[in-house]
Amino acid sequence: MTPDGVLQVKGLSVQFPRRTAAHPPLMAVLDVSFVVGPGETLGLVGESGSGKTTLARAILRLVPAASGEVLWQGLNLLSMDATRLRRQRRDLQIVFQDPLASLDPRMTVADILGEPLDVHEPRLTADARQARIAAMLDQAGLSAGLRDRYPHEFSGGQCQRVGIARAMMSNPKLLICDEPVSALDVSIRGQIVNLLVDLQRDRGMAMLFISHDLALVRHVSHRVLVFYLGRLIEIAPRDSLFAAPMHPYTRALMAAAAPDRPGQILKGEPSSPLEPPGGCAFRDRCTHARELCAGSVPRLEEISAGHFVACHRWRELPD
Amino acid sequence: MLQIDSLCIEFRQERARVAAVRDVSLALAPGECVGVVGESGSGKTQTFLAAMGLLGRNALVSGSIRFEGRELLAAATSELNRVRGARLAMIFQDPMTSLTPHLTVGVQMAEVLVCHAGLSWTAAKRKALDMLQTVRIADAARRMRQYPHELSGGMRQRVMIGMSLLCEPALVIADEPTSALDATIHVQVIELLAAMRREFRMAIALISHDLGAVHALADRVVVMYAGRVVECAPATAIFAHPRHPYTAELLRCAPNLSAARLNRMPSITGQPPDPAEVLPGCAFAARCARADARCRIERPLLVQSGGAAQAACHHPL
Amino acid sequence: MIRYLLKRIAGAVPTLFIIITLTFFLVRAAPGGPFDQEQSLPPEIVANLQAAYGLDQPAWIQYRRYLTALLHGDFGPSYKYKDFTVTGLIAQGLPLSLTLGGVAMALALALGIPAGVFAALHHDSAAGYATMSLAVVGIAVPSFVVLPFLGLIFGIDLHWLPVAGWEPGSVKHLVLPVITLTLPPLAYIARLTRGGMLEVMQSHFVRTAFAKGLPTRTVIWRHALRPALLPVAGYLAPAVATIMTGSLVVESIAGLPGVGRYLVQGALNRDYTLVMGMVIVYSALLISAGLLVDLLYAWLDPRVRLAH
Repeated sequence: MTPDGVLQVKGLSVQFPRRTAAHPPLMAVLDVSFVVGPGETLGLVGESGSGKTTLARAILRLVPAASGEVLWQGLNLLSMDATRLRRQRRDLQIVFQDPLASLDPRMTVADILGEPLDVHEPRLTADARQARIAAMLDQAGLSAGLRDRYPHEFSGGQCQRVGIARAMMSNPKLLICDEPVSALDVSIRGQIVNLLVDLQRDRGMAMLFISHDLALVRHVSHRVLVFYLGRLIEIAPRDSLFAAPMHPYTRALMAAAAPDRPGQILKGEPSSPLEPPGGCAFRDRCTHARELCAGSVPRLEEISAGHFVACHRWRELPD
Repeated sequence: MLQIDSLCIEFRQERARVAAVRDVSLALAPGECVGVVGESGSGKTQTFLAAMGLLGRNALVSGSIRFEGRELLAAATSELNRVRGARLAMIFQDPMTSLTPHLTVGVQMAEVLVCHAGLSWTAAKRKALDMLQTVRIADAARRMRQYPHELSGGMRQRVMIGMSLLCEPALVIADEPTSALDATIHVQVIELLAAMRREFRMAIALISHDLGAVHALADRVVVMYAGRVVECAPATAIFAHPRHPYTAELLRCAPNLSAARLNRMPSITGQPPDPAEVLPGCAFAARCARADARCRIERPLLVQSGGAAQAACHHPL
Repeated sequence: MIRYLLKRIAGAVPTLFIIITLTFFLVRAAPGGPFDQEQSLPPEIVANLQAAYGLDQPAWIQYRRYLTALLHGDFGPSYKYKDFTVTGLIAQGLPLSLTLGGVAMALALALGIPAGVFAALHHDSAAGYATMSLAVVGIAVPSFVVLPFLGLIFGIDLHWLPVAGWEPGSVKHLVLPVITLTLPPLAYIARLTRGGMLEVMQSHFVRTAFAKGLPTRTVIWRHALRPALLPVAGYLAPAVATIMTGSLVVESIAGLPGVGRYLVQGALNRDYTLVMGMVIVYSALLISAGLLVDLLYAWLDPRVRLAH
């Protein structure tokens, strides 16, 4: 049984070697597991050093993984040979953060949109190809006359539309969006986000939506994953997470975004991923930390339907 | 203390002259914190770069910027150098690229005092060390000897803030001080700015698109769009009752975790006008729900609009 | 740091070894031998000479013997210049060549960098364009044109400096050769400095330095210069090579008794040992230059770490 349109990540870890073999490697992603169903949007939240971007790249094998599996429709992407992987890439696309930098400055919009067709559907007739490009431009909210322009002639928002259009050309079943609107003006973000949500709804595709903006994640996600220093520390359905966040870090994030929410104001910085504290990675900043937090890395425990938390003391935390 | 009058900044580019700032006037009183809000193309950063004399060579500037009675525009570099860094300081957006990579933190801070206060390097470094502690950097002595890339983003921004305060300036211009930082660090930096303001009593020009930061710090808010000031009001008034439609839209689009979740994410249709274009009428008319024929032909002037607020709109809210 | 240096030096040994081996066999692969130029030597005497120098042995035995001698610091006798060992010849000429090359390199840096900074600061003015045009001349005109030309003006027309030749301890004999050697690297360094400077002046940290009210010269020398010199650092090893090859021509034309002529003469004379000796010396120089450049990089940009 091939689970159609399902992504299953199991125990994925990504590390980066250090300058000398003497030093242990930098653990960017540590033992992350989750499932994305067809048509579902998973929000990935965390700050710098949380590993969420590295995770996305590892899923697509843009960076090598140290261990674990990435099962796309039952097949492990990490152990596939290059040819088979390329065919799978049709279904798995990504939109990047910096709209202008992600587009080849020497290609027109028509070239950029046509390239996925050349790779995945080379037998299309010229007319069919043009028609597909025109249709995509229209869906992305770009006027047809822009097809022969170059990226530097566009605004940030338009560039991002081109980036999304390119990603959608091969009709992916899973779209990874890595901070797709962070580089855009606040008043334009809604346009791009609404476009993504519409496209997702029309095509029934799944989305991994990476962002540090909680309000944005709340808007688009069905379920949310919270990362800290490479580990998954909380998973919950959207409403459950925002109504009752459990992990102290999640609460602190919410408090930073909305002062009316309870949650400590974090002092200091995340400890360097090069020297993580033993046990729970958050304990050096957590007001609820006790001795037992230094003992072992907390595992994800289910505290209510679909709501998991990795915290030794979740039972003792105030509401 | 800072008086900007009819400031116009144009940039010479290959084909045309592009107007970044069109006829902007604003003033800051001593000790006041003014939040300058706007998006790409608003000209908010260029306005203050002009005050600091940091515009590129292809910039054509007209108008007047007076600081503590002295005219800054077209001042000789030597005169300008007496003011900037000492009475008038600026903090930039990305502390990683804004600090010199091959000089230690200690040197970069101390040189301000050596240059402006005539201190010896030893005395200057001692004061720099004190300042690092004032901005709450732990293990300050070790940090003094480190290079910028060895510090985290939040720490680098603290260094920049401390560096700007060494000569106790009358005005600090903070250009997007939190944008490059994590959300949980935003709060720390804003708190630090507030604390420093209490301690040093300087005025702050906070250039930011982060309305939360502006709300926390500003006494007054100036909203800019397409190179012009479109609204100017006390902070309490502007957040409660914006007068200009753009301000209202901007507030509506601001990320808000406290409010209920909406089905469509709010945005303003269209995009800001191309700075190379010269539009008759109101620059926001193309995107404004309240716009009519008059708005497209006749450019509205900044006028009083209820209480202490000023708005440039024919149909203010 | 010490470990890094030792590692690099240790890494240089295999490189040198490969160079020695390749050169050894390449030189012998060229037709002819060391004693061909000697006229009117009966073949038996030639055969005796060859046996005396061990040249009648198979190549690889000669190679082994050479390496063994090398390990004892013996570069062998010169085949052409009888009565002289290679070590002796090189020791005689090397100080002069090193002086020539060292002064040229130092001058190229001392003049090229300020010229580049000047050109960058005035890049949209006549002075800036003029400086860069001069640089093009420096790169384009070959040394065998420059030196005689300078000799013509300063030697023959003005009688300020000698045209060629050398006396031990003389400085004025070295002036024109040094100038000739300096010009191409000076021009490159000026161009590279200008380019690097122009780029660095746009960076955010330079803007911060100006915002702090620092005088322009402080901003340039303390903040902007070091990162701007990274391209120059990258050029330094090739610059050493340029000067080394340039010295061959210059020393020949100016009649200076350095080691430059040995390499060319040695190759022409099939003076195997001399050629080998020169190749080793030049290779060692170049490898050291490379090592110094890497150390320089780390100083210019602390983000570059030496350990790897």
